Order: sequence, then structure tokens, then C-alpha cells
Amino acid sequence: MTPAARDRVARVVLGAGPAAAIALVVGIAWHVAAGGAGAVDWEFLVAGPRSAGREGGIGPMIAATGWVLAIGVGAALPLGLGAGTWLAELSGPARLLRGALDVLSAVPSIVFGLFGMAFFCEALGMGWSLLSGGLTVAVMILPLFVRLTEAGLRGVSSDYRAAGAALGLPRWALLRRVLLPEAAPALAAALLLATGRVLSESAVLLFTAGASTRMPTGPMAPGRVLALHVYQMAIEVPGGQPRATATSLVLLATILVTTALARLAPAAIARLAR
Amino acid sequence: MRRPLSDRAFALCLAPLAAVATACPVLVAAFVANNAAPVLVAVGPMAFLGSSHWAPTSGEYGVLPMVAGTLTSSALAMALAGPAALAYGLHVNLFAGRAFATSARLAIGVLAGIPSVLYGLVALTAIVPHLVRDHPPGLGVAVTAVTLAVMVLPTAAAAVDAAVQQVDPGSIVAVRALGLGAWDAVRAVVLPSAGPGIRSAMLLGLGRALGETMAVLMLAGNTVAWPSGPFATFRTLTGNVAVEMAYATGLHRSALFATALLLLVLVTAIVAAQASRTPGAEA
Repeated sequence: MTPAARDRVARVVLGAGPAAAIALVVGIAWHVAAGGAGAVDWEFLVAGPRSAGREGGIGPMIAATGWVLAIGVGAALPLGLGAGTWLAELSGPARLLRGALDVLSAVPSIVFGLFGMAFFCEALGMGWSLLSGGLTVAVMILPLFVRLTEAGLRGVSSDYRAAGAALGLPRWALLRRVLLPEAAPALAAALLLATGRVLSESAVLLFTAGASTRMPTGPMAPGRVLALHVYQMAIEVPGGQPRATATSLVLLATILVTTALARLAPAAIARLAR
Repeated sequence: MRRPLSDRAFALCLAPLAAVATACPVLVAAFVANNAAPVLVAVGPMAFLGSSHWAPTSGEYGVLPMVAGTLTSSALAMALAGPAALAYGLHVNLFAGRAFATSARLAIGVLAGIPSVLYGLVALTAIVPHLVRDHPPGLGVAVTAVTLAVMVLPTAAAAVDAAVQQVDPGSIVAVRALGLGAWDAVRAVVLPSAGPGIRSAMLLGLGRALGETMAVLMLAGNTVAWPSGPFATFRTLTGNVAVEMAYATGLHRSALFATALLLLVLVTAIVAAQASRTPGAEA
């Protein structure tokens, strides 16, 4: 076989990989949209569930998801920014921290769930609450956030650092006035990617935030996030699958918007800053 | 040269945050291990790992069937997803047109963001109904492995893509300049030099498969049984925790923490294997 003929065969055979990925996305999106679109309307988004969720809406689950998201990202943000900055600007190779983050990012979410139950719910006395769930999720997204912060700061041209040093600018001033603004687009993308991770999480919250379908009254109340509602409706409630699919559609649309924003935001922020 | 005082103060402010981040996995391991300790002391680690009898009501805590369930479903998933991920990484970098490569990368990005429960639900409503008539209840090893394969595909595929991108483009050009094709470049240059990265990508996928919970919980059937055939219902380590935690107390509860500890040990071993297989990859 000539090289060109070998390439034609390879192109077709190897093309099955990427083609499968595209077909899966289209198939899954179509399946969820076709099965769920009929049930999604304004009432569905704001009302509470009735008849164990077979009727009514998902308002309390959206509120619970919002709480967990705000607490989780809010807690991971300062910690991730600090540790990421330390890695990018101050530390040496920092093998220990990097190894720790590698392990942390590989920990299965159900293990985080048990940890959160033992640590936040019981040892710290927060009980089954959105606060416990949010803080557990914060630990889970921390490695992602640290790594993206570090990558964002490393992406800033080192000329700025050299210029800052030549001007005798203290490093924190350099960071605050030059490096962080320059890295802002990458940090915004990091925030959105972390948001997507939190939205899709359910195993972590099963044993930390609970599965109550009541409208949460505050961070100390338990609550059921959207992803967990999909599971509960699909498995625990007979006849709940149509509503599970409708909830999935809302969840999938939210995640797709977040992912799209994560891709588009860096360019938009960079343009605004100019 | 001594750094100015403000720089040292700055480092002093950030170091604790880095220290807290470093402490997180230690904290996770410590709390899981501490809660797992009672059962490991009471029945012994060998009985926990080596026995196939799981009967919490009569004090038997053997996780062997669940270990087999996790390993079988993960291995099958990687057998399906591994070749697809490799084909994807090679194709988008060396064979695809720009538009196709962009759409494929977008698709992999979207697949990576789809929640676990959604994969479970789609499999439950799209695949399981076709299996129910001939193989009730329609759940079991085959549907779990196929769904797991779809779920770990984006993880492995993106990592293979990154590994292939690291290959020195000059070497590929050199092969092509000899009048050879892209496939020859794959064999002569890409596979040898991206090999460690590709193996690391497969380990990453495997780690994801081992720890997957919700979709597996929805599809495995969760009976404590050996994964003895494609339509046999079975239970994974993650499923074991998720199914029983809600009502477990005492030693039973401790045994579920021990199950989680076992998972933690497995994924840490995989991370260690990755680190040792990719020299210089720590960047």
C-alpha cells in the first residue's frame, strides 16, 4: 500500500473516534430535549413539587442549587486564588501541594460525600445542610480552581514581571495592579468551569445537603439540588422518569450555557478591558 | 539579596492558603480512615477484603464481589473507551480537517460537562427498555460498562489529544518530507514519543471509571453478586456506599467508610502510577 492509501484507511478507521463523540452529543441532547421539552414551562421552573415530584415544579431545587453553588464557589474562590497565586508567583516546584491536588482531583465524589458527612455535618455540627454540601463541594472543586488560576497567571507575559521588578514595584502591587487584571479573562473562565462542575454534582450532596424538597430557608436548611432531583425522580419515584427528563433538560441547558460562556468570556473580558 | 519586607509579608499571607489546600486531601483521608477504623479492627482488613459475604445484619462485611464489580465494569469501559480515545486524539491532530477537528473537540468538551445522573437517566430510558423483555430487569454489567465507557471517553480523549499535541511538530514534518504519510508519522514518531502521555490518559480514564457513582448506581442493579455475565446485576464499591449509607449505623456504617477508604487507596495508587509513568510531566 502506498503512504497515501494507508492514510485514507487510517483517516476512516480513526475517524470513528471523533465521529462517535459528535454522534453521542447529538443523540443525548436530542433524547433529553425530545423527552423533556413538553414539561418545561415557567410554572415548572418556579413551583414546588407535588405528588413526590410527579407534578408541580422544581423551584426549591433550583434555589438549593443556587445556594450550594454560591457557598461552594464562594469558599473555593479565595482559597484557590491564594494557592494558585502562590504556585505561579512564589513557590518553587511545590511537589507536595501539586501531589496533594492531583490526589484530590482523583478522589471519587462519593468519597467526598462521606468526608463531608463526617467532617462538616458531624464533627463541625453543621448537620445536613446546604452549608455542609456547599463546603464539601468547595473542597472538591479546589484542585480545578487552583490549577486554572495558576495557568491563568503563568499565561501573563513575564515581561510585566521584569518591568515591575525593574521599577521596584512590590510583588503584591504587581499582582494586584498588573497580573490579576491581565489574568482576569482566564480567571473568569475558571470560575465558569468550576460552576459547571458544581451543577453536575450529585453524589457529594446525597449525604451532606440531603434530599428535602422543601424550599430552603437559608444556608442551614437541607435541600435537594437539581442533579440529585434527577436521580430521585428516575429511581426512587415510580412514574417519575418524565419529570426526571424535564429536570435534566433544565440542568443540561444551564450547563451548556455555562460552558459556552467559559469559552466566550475570556475574549469578551479582554475586549472590554481594552 | 534580601527581598523587601512587603514581599515577605505577601508570601506569608499566601503560604497559609497553600498549606490549607495541601491539607485538604490529608483531611479527607483522615476522616474517612478514622470512621473506617472500627470495622477494620473488629473483623480485620483481610476478612474485609478477602471475604465474599456481605451481610451487614449478621455482621459480615466482605467486599470482594463489589471489588470484582468495580474492576470488571471499569475494565470493560476502558476496553471500549480506550481505543476510541486514542483514535480521537490521533485523528483530530493528524487526519481531520480544521472544521471537523473543532466540532469533535467541542463535542468532547460537552460530553465532559454532562452530569453523571444524566448519563444514567439517558441509558435508563434509551437502552434499558430494549433489554427488559429478554433480560429482565434490563440492568447489569453490559449497560453499565457501555454507559461508563461514554462517560470516561471525554476524560481519556482530551488527555490523549493533549499528549499528541506535545509531539514535536518538526519530527512529523521530517517524516512527511521523506514522502511518507500521516499514518507513517503516527507509527514512527507520534506513538513512541506520546506513549507515556497516552498511557497516563488511559490511567486517568480508569480512575474516573473506578470512582463513578450515580450512573452506575442507576444501572448496575446493585445486588450483592459477582458480575457473572453481561446481563447479571451486580454492585460496585461506589454503589455499595450510596445504596446503604442512608440507613447504616455502627459497624455497618464503618464498613461503608472502609469501602470509601478502599476507593481512595485505589485512585491514589493510580495517581502515583501516572506520576511515575510520565517523567517531567509535573508542570
